[in-house]
Amino acid sequence: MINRLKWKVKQHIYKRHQRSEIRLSHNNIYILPSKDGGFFIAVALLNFVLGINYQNNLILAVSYIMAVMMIAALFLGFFNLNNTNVRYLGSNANFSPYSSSIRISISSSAEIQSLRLSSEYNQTATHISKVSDEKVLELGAPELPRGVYETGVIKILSYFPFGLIRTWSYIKPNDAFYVYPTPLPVIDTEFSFGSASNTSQSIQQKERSVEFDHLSQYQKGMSLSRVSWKHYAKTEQMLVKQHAPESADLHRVIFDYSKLSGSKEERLSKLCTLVLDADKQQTSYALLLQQNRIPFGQGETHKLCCLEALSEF
Amino acid sequence: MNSSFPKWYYSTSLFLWLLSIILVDDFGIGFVGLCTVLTLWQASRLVTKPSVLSIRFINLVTLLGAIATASLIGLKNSVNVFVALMLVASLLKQVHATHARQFTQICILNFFTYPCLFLFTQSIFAAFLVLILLAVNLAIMLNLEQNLRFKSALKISAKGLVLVLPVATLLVIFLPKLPAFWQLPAPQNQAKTGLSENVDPFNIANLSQSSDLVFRASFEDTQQTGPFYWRAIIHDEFDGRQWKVSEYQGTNIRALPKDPIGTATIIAQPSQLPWLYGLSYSYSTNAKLNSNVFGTVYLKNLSAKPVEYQIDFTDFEPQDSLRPWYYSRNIALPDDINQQARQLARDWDSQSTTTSQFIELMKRYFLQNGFVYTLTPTTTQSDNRIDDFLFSSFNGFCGHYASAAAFLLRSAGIPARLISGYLGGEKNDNQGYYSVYQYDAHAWVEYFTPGIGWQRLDPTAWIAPERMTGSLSQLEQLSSEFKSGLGYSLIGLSNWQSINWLRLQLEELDYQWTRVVINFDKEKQGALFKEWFGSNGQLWAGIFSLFMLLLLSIALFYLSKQLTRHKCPIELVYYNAIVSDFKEQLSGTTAKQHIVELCKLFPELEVSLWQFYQLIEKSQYQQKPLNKLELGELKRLYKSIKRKARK
Amino acid sequence: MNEEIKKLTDALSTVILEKPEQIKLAICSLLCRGHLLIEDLPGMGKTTLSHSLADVLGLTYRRVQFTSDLLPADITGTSIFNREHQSFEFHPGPIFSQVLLADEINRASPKTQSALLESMEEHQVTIDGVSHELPSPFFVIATQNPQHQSGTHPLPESQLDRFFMRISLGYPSEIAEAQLIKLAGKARKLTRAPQVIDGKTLLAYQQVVPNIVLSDAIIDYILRLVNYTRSSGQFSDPLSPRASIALAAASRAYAFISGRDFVIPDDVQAVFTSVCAHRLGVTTTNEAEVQTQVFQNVPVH
Repeated sequence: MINRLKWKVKQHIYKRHQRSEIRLSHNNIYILPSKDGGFFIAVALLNFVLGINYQNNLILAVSYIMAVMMIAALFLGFFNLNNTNVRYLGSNANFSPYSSSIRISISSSAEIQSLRLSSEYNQTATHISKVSDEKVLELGAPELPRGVYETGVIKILSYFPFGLIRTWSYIKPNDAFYVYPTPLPVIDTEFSFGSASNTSQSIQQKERSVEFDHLSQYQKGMSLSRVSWKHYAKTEQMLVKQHAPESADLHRVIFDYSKLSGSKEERLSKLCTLVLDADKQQTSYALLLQQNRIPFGQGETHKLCCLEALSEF
Repeated sequence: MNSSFPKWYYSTSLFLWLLSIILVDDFGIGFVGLCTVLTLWQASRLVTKPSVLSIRFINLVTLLGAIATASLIGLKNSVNVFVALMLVASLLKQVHATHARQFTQICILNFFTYPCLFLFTQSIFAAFLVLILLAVNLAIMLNLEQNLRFKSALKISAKGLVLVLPVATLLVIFLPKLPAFWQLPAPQNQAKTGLSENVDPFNIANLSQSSDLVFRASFEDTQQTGPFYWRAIIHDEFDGRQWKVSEYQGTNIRALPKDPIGTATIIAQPSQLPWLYGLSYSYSTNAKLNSNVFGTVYLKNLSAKPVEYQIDFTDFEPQDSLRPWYYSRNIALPDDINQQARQLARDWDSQSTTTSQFIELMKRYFLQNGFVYTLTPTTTQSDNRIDDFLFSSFNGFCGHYASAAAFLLRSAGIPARLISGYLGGEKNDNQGYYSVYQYDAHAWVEYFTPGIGWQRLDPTAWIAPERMTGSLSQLEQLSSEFKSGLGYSLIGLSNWQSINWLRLQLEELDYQWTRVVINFDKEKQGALFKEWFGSNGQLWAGIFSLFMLLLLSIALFYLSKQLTRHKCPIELVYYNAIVSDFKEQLSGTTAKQHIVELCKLFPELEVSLWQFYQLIEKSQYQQKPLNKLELGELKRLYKSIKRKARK
Repeated sequence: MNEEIKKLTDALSTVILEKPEQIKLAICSLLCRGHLLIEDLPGMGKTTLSHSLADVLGLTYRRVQFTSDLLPADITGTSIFNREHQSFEFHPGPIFSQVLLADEINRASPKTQSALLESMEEHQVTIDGVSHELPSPFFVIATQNPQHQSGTHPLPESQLDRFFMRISLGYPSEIAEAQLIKLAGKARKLTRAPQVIDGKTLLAYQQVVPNIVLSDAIIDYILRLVNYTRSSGQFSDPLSPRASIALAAASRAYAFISGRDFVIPDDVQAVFTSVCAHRLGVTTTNEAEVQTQVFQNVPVH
């Protein structure tokens, strides 16, 4: 019950932070005494009681000093974060056991002291002791299995100035980051991708039988027989099946998910290795993931597109 | 693990150890030893590469420490044990603290441990010390959160505390003084030298002299002159060895006498005895005090801090006779001792017709037999100690003379009793108060004459009349003897004028501190409000304090805003103010472009805008700091631009 | 504006019409001993500008038209066997001049390009193990066509960095173009800019520039600009420290041209695009957009 309520409140709060850039101000900074702050207040109260009961002005003064300190800490903590600009820059994808990361930029015209940033994927906070002007931070998301992950809530927290006050805020960029499959060595001989042309050729042979290359937009004058009616039925998009030219050069490969052995994850891992190797050798390649087809291509963007498809699968 | 904290963090251990040394009188040398061991352990762990301590080991050590503390101090002194345990706990926690959070907790705990010193002493030095300790403590807390150097962290924390201090002071003054919620046990002070309830002067070989302050007194009527006999304890029972405190010392008077001849305000230092100090027949209306039948006052409850009270005093009322039971009580003497003295008294009695004649004979005897006043008298253990004094040793201090005189009076059937208290006091000429120290302790006699009542008789005055005026410290004759008994203290060096001056200044400071700070209580608060705000003082003070709180929080708000703001040169502050006031801030626009645009907006201001720009340019781009004249000019331009542009 | 420099720009303005900024920037580059890359479409006056620059400064001037079959030796020179003396004799190439105009540098093969850029950096040419010192001042003005033109070998980033500035002239205004048309038929003599200063004066100027005051506020501003390119994540090749040094030097020269002995932020902004755009890998067409973006995100104070 309480957990549900907590969850509801949190969702409500997060709603206000669903932006990729946020300027921290009085309506999105939260301040509460930290655990140590609670202890501090308790000690101040104890001093107060002691001062009253012993009619001891000095102990009383100490308890008042503590009270004023606490209030000052509230203000200092607030102004420390106030007017800070937090911006989500994007994410860096990585291969599965390694940590993907979320890039956050923090900038302020004033100096910000002692910041801690944490994401949903990494509760141990990154601690920065000082930010002046601007700082770009990478928040790691370690040990995640392959997949696409929502960027989630990033928490900006500070215990400035004495560790008695918790000042915090959130940013929830509406974005996702990828964790690519772990590249696994491909043992299946027929699909081991190498520079040896005979293996390539064997792939090529299979590819010819497929013949299909990619879909492209239908334009007037094209043969209606080549229209992919399946697509039209589903999406009402007129797409035309493009067939690979007969004289496809030898440096073109299709990596087909269904032709690999092993479990789903294993296959994806192998595909990942294949894509990386192909990219290294500047081969043009296409990816076939059951329904999802990625046409032939080359270069960095193509590689990323393939890797992302593998992560999404 | 320990070395992960900067070394200066561990000054805390040293401070706690220092506290244990300061409180050695209350906690005993054994506890200081325990603290020393713990501190040395900490020090050794700092020097060597320490191993991580297991939790079980720490728990064991903590338990042992607690048991040791309790057994060293004794569970009876609950407050002492409690404070001592806090000290030990804080010390032990530091030994095994490995995480930043643990150290934060230690620091927070110290916010309680350090002020505990105030339970035992509230001197200005203690306050100062605690303030310094708290500043260091705060510096550690700052450092734990931000990586600062020791010096800058301490600077910030000290600055902060100094800023907060007046606020706390105002709060102490203006917040209503609540009554104590419940009665807490008072910390027990170890007995200090001073008066004792039973007087046996013949047992003392060397009257120990202490320069500890006993009380300070100031008179409403500053014309009061001495000698001041401060009465504290009435001894009316002599058992042959010692004069015992009267059974009626704690019996209160029912009705207070009407017309006092004087009023005095006294601030008495804490003592292990409840008996306080008064003049002649004194009584007090203070709620913490009782007034007894002898005309002295005493505390209802012992206090660990100085007590301030007011006494009214009158002369003794003339009395025709004593009640028979009381008469017999005041002439009672044990049989079979001091036969020679009894004989002497009987002789004088037969030679005299009135009490004063009897006293005259006694005085003559003392003066003619070469009696000497000394602080190092001959001791005796015999039963006939008064005989020994009167007929063989001929030397002694006030106790001897008073004891002998009272014995002689009683032997002659004259009711007499011994009074112990203090004589004189050192006058502070600036503030007009008297300071009375332990070495001013005195004993004298009161005797009863029918029709006149009780009268004071000070036989010591016959031998050493200088003793009557002023304090013992000002007595030339005995100075060397007196000082050798004092040991090491400032007053021992009073021959040097500068040191004496310093001593008096410190003394005065302490007086003000005690009067103004420590004893600021509900009555004083009320009086203060009345003085400041008139008859509706409480109400106005409440309104005023609310208003002040508001003001304070606003000030705090802006102060903290200022503190966190980037330090910006004043030229740029002006520039930014002008720019942001009149147009939306385009961050990429240069100063010159801004000025050009502003000139278009306010053509009439062109000249001053360009002058303003010239100065900005000089300071910011030519790297030539502006002199005072130019800064003034800049400010003037800034103001005029702002004013004119607003129109 | 500095009087002498004003004469220089005036002289240049008679030839390159209504492009005072570009002229100033070109002079800036000269004052900082930096090489200049002019990127523009053919026929926009690239050559004329470089030519005139050499003329007004009174410097010796050579021009090499870069083609795909140009060999390194065609620029640096070769040793030729002299029968009379029975020995090899060094015949210096066009690079041995005070101003070298490398026309359409991106048409040449990478090998040739790097030979030129190497000698630009080292200020000497080594042939058959003998080093030949290049004249001083030595100043390369390279022109290139925008990258999308066919048959070009784009300069790699590392070599672009060797150029102190990249400027482009852009189309002239209508009035200017009308005047150009009028002048078109006349003999080159008439359209030539007169010599205004000599090599010595230029050298003296070059020594003054580093003494221009660069205040802490300006250094901060430069650092903020550079940091922005590094932290914003929008540039694939953020600015290197060499770029920040170049930016500072160019700002100083610009301040000097404007007749000041200290730098103001306007100077930095004026030179920023020319100094930094090519190092950031921004094409000429995107320059303006990037400039506004950077300036808006980096506060001056």
